[in-house]
Amino acid sequence: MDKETLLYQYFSNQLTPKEQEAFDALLETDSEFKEQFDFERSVQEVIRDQKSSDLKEKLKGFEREISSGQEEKVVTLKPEASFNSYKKWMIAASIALFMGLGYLGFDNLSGPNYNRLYEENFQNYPNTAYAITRGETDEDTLKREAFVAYETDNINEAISLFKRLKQKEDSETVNFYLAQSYLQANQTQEAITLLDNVIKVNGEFKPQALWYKSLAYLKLKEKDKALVSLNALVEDGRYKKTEATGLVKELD
Amino acid sequence: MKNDLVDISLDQLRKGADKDLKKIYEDNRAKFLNFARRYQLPEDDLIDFYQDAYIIFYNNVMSGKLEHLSSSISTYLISIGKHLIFDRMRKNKKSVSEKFDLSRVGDTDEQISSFELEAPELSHEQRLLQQHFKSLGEKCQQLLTLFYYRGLTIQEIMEAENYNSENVVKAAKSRCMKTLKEKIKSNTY
Repeated sequence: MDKETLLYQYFSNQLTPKEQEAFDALLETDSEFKEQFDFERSVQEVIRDQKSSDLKEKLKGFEREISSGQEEKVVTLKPEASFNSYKKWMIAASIALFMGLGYLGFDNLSGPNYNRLYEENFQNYPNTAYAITRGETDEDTLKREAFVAYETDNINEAISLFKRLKQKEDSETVNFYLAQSYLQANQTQEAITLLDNVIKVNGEFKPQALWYKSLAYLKLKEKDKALVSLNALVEDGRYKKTEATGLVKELD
Repeated sequence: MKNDLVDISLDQLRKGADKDLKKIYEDNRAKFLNFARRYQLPEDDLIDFYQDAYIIFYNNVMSGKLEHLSSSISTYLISIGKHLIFDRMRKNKKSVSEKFDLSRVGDTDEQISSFELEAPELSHEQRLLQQHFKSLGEKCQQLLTLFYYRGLTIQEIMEAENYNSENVVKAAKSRCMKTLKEKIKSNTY
């Protein structure tokens, strides 16, 4: 097969494995062939870039229409609208709650409002450890199921899957995400035990574990213990340093 | 039945009518944003990620890398989005934490494993080439786009554009490429 045909087959996605071999060999040995290939490949890049920026402009236009449409007809755009009204109710409800608490002098009598501090700061940690749909090997199945349950907020299932996984693989990651699941399920003490394990390993999840341990103690209203781990986190400096510093000030 | 419906959208996407592009954009937006919010990135960035994921999805449909949907469009968009977000986290570790090692995040979801996911910035030479390309006649631009971007065969191009024979297409294509090369040499626009 001549060189021109090989290039043609390549760009029309028709290279057979055997032709691919010949193609790769030519790229290595024939500089003229490589030059021609690079040129055509550049033409391809250039067109794709062009198409991409044309489309990007269009999408920006759609986005502008969506955001201007929202102001005019909030009611017809369902997801956003229901979110907004939900938010309004939440705001109204929390104002009412705060007024009630203020009336009772609750806030002043009981020191820091631990629940509020917890709610304001707790957000479950995203799955950054495992790409869910890769591979189909058996050893991966359990792990995948566990992270799927975790990502889809199926917390009870996540807990039981991570527990099984922990028996096979007692790793930093598994302990950390099991702890995350416990926190969401309000099994705070269990979470703390696991987070302590993670902190002991002194690996990459240590600062994250310190942060969540602090929050867990806030939830249990154990100020001193929360402060110890917040200070350790500030000292570590790798994660949530600003937030931790803020919390230390509020608690002291 | 459900499959019919998704296939129609792919076809519509290929034809590229604005109203279909817009419908797909709107239909999948809330779901994508909802997914992406868990990574605690600024809202404006999320829109950007959505648009970039959409563009990558579109390019892979157009280039024939994706011929049939094996799951819903939103699944593809979310997989691509996840890849883009992880990629950003790896490059700019601050998003999650300064020293958090994201090397283990790497792998991409299976249904997009054959996709071209990277869109490298054009080099200086390629920017020039782009200017020259845009100065070509409309017919040349269209022909080269069908071949290099859509990955169509000479025969498919002949049928799509009503050329008389494959040889006519081949001759036209090499004339266009020759013009392009000459423009680069003389560097005239």
